[in-house]
Amino acid sequence: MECREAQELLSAAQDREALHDTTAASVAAHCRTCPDCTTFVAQLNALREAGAPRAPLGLAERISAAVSLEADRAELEQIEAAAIAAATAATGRDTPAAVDGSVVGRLGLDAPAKVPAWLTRGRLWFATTAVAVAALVMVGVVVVRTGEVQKASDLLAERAAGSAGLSTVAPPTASGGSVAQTPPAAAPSRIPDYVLWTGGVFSAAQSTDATASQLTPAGTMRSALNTGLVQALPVMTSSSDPRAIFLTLPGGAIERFDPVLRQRKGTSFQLQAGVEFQRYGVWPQLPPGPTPTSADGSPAFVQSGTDDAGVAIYVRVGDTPERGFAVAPGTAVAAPGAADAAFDAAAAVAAAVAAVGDATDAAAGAGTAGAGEAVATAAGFVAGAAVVAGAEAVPTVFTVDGAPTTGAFATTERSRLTQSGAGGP
Amino acid sequence: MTAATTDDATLVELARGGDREAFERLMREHLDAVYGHALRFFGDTATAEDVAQEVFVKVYRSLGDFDGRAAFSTWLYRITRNVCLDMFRRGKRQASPVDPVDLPETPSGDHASAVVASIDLERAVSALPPEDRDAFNAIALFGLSYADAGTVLGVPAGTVKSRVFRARRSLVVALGLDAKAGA
Repeated sequence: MECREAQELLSAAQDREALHDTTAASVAAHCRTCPDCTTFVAQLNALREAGAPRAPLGLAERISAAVSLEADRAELEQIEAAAIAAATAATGRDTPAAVDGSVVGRLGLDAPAKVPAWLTRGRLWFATTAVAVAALVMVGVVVVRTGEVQKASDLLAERAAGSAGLSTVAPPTASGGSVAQTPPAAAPSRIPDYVLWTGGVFSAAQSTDATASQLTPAGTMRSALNTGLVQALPVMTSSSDPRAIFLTLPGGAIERFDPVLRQRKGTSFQLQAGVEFQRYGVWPQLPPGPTPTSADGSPAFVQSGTDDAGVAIYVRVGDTPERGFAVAPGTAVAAPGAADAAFDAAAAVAAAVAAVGDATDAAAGAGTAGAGEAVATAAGFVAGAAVVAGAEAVPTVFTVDGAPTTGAFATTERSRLTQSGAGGP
Repeated sequence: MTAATTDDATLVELARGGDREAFERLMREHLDAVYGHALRFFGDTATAEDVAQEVFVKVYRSLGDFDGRAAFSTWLYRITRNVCLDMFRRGKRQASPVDPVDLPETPSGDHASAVVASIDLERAVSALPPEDRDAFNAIALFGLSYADAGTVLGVPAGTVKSRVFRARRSLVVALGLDAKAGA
C-alpha cells in the first residue's frame, strides 16, 4: 500500500467512514512499518485538537430574538389574512392586491415572510384572536365606504401596536347599515418608552453608545416595546456604564435604556413598578405595601417636602422619604410641577380601559393564570377610579437605590393625597 | 443514524409542532457549526454573526418544508452554504481575504498553546481553496458523511474524500505540524 492511499484512508477513518476489515488491516500493517504515516496520524489528531470556532456569547440570544420576531410576524400575517378574508366575505368583493405589508410595514419590519403551514397547528388562542380581529375588520368595512381593506389594515396595525385602536371602532347598527365612525378616545398622556427590569423602570435613551462586544449578557426581558407583541429580548449590561441596560432588538439592533431617576438630597432614587408591564405606554403602578389603613383601603400619604428638582413628594403616614417616596401621577422627570397640570384624568381612564381590553384578549387567548391576574388588576383600577371621581390612579413611586422596596407603599389616588391635607401638587 | 441525528430528529419534530424550546435547543446545538462555516467563509466575525442569524431564521421559517429524508445537519449545511453564497453574490460582503502568503511563518518551536493553534487553524482554513474548505467544513463542523456532503456539494463522495484529505494535508503544512512531527 502506498503512503498516499494509507493516509487518505486514515483521514477517512477519522471522519467515521467505515473501512472494510481487509482494508483496515492493510492500513494498520502499513503504519507499523511506515514512520511517515504514523506521524500523519499524530498530525491528524493535532488538527482535531485545534478545535473549531465557537459562537460568541450573546449570539444565541440575538438569534432567539430574531426568531421570535419571525414567529410574531408570521402570526400577524395570519391575522391579516383572516381579516382580509372576513372583509372580502362581508363585501363580496375580491381582496385588493395592495394590502400586503400594511401591518408589517407599520411595525417597521422587513418584507412579509412566507407563513409555514406548521406554524398554525395547535394554536387555539391564535384562532380565537384571528376571529375577534376579523369581526372588528368587518365593522370597519361597513363604516368606511372607500378603501375599506386599507382601513381594516389600519385598525389591525393600531391593534398590533398596542394602541387604543379597539376603542376607535364603532359598533355596527342594528340594521347593519352605514354609521358615522366613533371619534377616537382621548389619547393618553405621553408616557415615556418604559421597560421594566428587575423591578426598576428604565426609559429608552436617545442614542446607544455601546457595541455588542463591550456588553455582557444579563438575562432576558419579555416586552412588546411598541409593537404590541411580547417577545423575549436579550438584556445586556456594560461594565463602563453599570446603571444602563441594553436590549437587543429584533433584527439585531441594540438600544440603550437608562434608569428613571429622581434626586433627593443628593441621593438617587429609581422608579419602581409594583405590577409587571410588557409594553410601552403604561404608567408604572405603585408596589404593594402594608395593610391599608383608610376607609377605602388606601394608606394615607402626607407631603414630605420636595425632591431636588422641587417636585412635591409624598410618604406614607409615619414613614420617611429616605426609604422612598411617591410623586403625583404624570409628573415628568424633567419638568417639575408642569406635568401634573398636563395630566389628563380622562385620558388616564381611557388608557386603563384599553389596558383591560388588551388583558382580556390575552386571557381569552392564552388562558393562563398570569393573564387572568392582569385582567383583575386592570379592572380593579377602573373600579377604583369610579369610586373616587376624577382620581388619576397609577401614581409613581421612587425607591432608594439598592434598598428593599417591599412594603414601602400601597396603592393610592391623587385625591387621597389631597385629602391628607398635605397639599397636592 | 447517529445518536446526534436521532436527537435532532426529535427536536425537529417538536419544533415543527410549535415547541420554541425545542427549536432553541436545536439552534444552540448547531450554532457553532453555522458560525464557524460563516467565519471561515468571510473571515469576519460580524458577518459570521449576521449569517448565523439569517440561517436560523430561514430554518425556522422553512422547518415545515423539511421532510426528514436527509439528516437535519445536512439540510442545515445546505442552508448555511447558500446563505453565505447569496450574501457574497449580493456584493455586500467580501469572502475571506486570507491569502496563504499572509499566514504566519511556520512555527518551529513549541506549538502547544491551544489558543494560538486555534487562531492559526482558522487562518489556515480560510486560506484553503474554496472547494476544499467547503468539503472540510461539511465534515469537520457539521459532521456530514462523505455521501451527504457530496449530495450538497454536487460531487461524488470520493471527491469529497479527496478534498478533505487534501485540506488536511494543506493544514498540516500550514500549521507547521509536519515540521514539529519531524523534529
